[in-house]
Amino acid sequence: MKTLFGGGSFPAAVVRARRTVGKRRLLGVVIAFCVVIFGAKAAQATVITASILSVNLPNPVPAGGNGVSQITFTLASTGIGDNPGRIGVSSTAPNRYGDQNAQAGLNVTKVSADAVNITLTPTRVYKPGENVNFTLTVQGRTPVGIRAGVRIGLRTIGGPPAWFNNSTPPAAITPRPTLPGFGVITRDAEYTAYNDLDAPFSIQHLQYFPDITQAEFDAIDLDAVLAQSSTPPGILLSPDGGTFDQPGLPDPQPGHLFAAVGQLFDSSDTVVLGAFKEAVVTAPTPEPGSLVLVLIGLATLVALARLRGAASRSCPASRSRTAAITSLFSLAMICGLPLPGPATAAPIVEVQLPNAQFGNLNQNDVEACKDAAGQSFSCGAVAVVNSFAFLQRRYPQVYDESLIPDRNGNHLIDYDELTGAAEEVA
Amino acid sequence: MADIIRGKQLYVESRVPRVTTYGQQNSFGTPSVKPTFAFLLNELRRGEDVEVTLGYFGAITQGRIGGHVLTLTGLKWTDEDMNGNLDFGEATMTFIDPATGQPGTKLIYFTFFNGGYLGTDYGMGGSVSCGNPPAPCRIQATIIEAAVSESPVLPAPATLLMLASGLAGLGLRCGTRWLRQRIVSAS
Repeated sequence: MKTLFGGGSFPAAVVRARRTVGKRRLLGVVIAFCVVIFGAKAAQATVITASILSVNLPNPVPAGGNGVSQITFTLASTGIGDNPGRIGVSSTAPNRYGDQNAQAGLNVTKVSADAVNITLTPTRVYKPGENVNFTLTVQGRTPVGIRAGVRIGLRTIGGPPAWFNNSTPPAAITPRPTLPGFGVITRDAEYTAYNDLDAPFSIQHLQYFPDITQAEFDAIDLDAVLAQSSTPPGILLSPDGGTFDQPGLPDPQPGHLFAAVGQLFDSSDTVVLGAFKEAVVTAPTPEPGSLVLVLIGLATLVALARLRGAASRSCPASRSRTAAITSLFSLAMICGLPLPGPATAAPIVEVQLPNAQFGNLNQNDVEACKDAAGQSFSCGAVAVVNSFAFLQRRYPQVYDESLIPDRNGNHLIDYDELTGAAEEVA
Repeated sequence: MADIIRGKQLYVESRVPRVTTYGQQNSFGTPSVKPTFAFLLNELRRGEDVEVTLGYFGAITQGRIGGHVLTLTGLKWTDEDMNGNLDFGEATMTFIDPATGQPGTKLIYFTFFNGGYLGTDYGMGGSVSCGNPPAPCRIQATIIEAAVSESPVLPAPATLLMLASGLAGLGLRCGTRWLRQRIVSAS
């Protein structure tokens, strides 16, 4: 491609090809060209198709107890209330929730359009000593949150995550389980952990796996993650909306997963509450605009080919003229395709004031910006005085030399004068 | 931040009274207003000088560990994925850094940190002294907590246009009346 463009002879080559190899070959060239132009770009775009939340929680029932028989929590995700079939659950072997079709023990009730209550009743209780582990998969592209209930009018429906023992009727076990919510942006990848519960928790040993396969994700051993010792301080997420955000992560390849793995602690970083691995599944998505362009181009070519066929059948004399028009049109299309600037150019907003009109005062030279040990600290006065220099130079008719007094009468803003003004402002 | 804003206004008003207009978005204020990219952009476009206050945050348990103030001089945003979001890596800000007295350029982006702020990579990865006894604390996030701007009160072009159209309207009305009187007196 570089050679074609670099030599500047691509249109000429196409004309030669058109003359020598005919319509079908030219069509092939155009299609190949479209694939080259749009195919690579389309392959870079990803869309999230599912979110996976997998947890491994120490069993709260002491030895001799009758185990955990039920887990409930409120899950929020855009549109989930009207489409609960997007939710699936499983556990490590033996799968306590049946296969994907059976989904034994999964009960979903709508709370609102964007929230559901989930009750997990495993086919086998989690006996004392067995970690409570399950993997929740939510199809769709929106973040997944675990809520302490959803407020509708004056009522709160649902509640914080809870688990129950195997007695009849099941009794709630305290303390309650902790489940983190999360969201991922896959372009300029960014991971966000949420705490929408009513109690704080801390995350330790948070690791990112920005580009892994499903098999690699499945192979992450949450027992090993859970067994790590505490290394405080962790990332403390305050209740009722605390978040932790990590931008600037590598992007996942289409079809791969972006995953985060971590350990959950109480807010004092002393009691381990569980381990989690979270991921979003991505899929390649061609850009709609590109697809439309390709389809329009192909449709036009087909229409022209038919037109030429009809013309040549009805009027053989017009064949050469039609061929010339087709060639020119094809050439124009090929030349025009790489120039979809107005349709695809990223919008730019920019403003730049001249740096030279601002002051260049350094806070290390301002006594009022130093502490007792002589170290300079963040000093708003210096930033302000550097701004004053701009105001004076930009609007001399308004400010004259009032903001930064001209002490030596040279009508210039000298460094000493900046320093003096900063001392006064500070 | 309130001290900076008040001190600055007092200084300016004591030197050149009643000619300066002030603008601010202050997350510490009442009501709390988080600075937006649009605000910063508009203020710079109007030729106003803008100072931004940065907040440094360490590990979550450490919370806010320090801050800094920059004099903003420019913004550039290329919305590469055309999603209308100020994504990481798409926008930069230029500034005069009081720590050096020199111009600098850093990323500016929207971050979900603390419920959503403008963030920047200024200071990220560095450390500041915090805690008791003081110890180096690593900066894990930097957000823009406040922005304050000022410029002289000059009539905006739109205001001048309104004034001109008003005067033109008055002139037209007077002219019409005068013409009507001339016609009536002639007849």
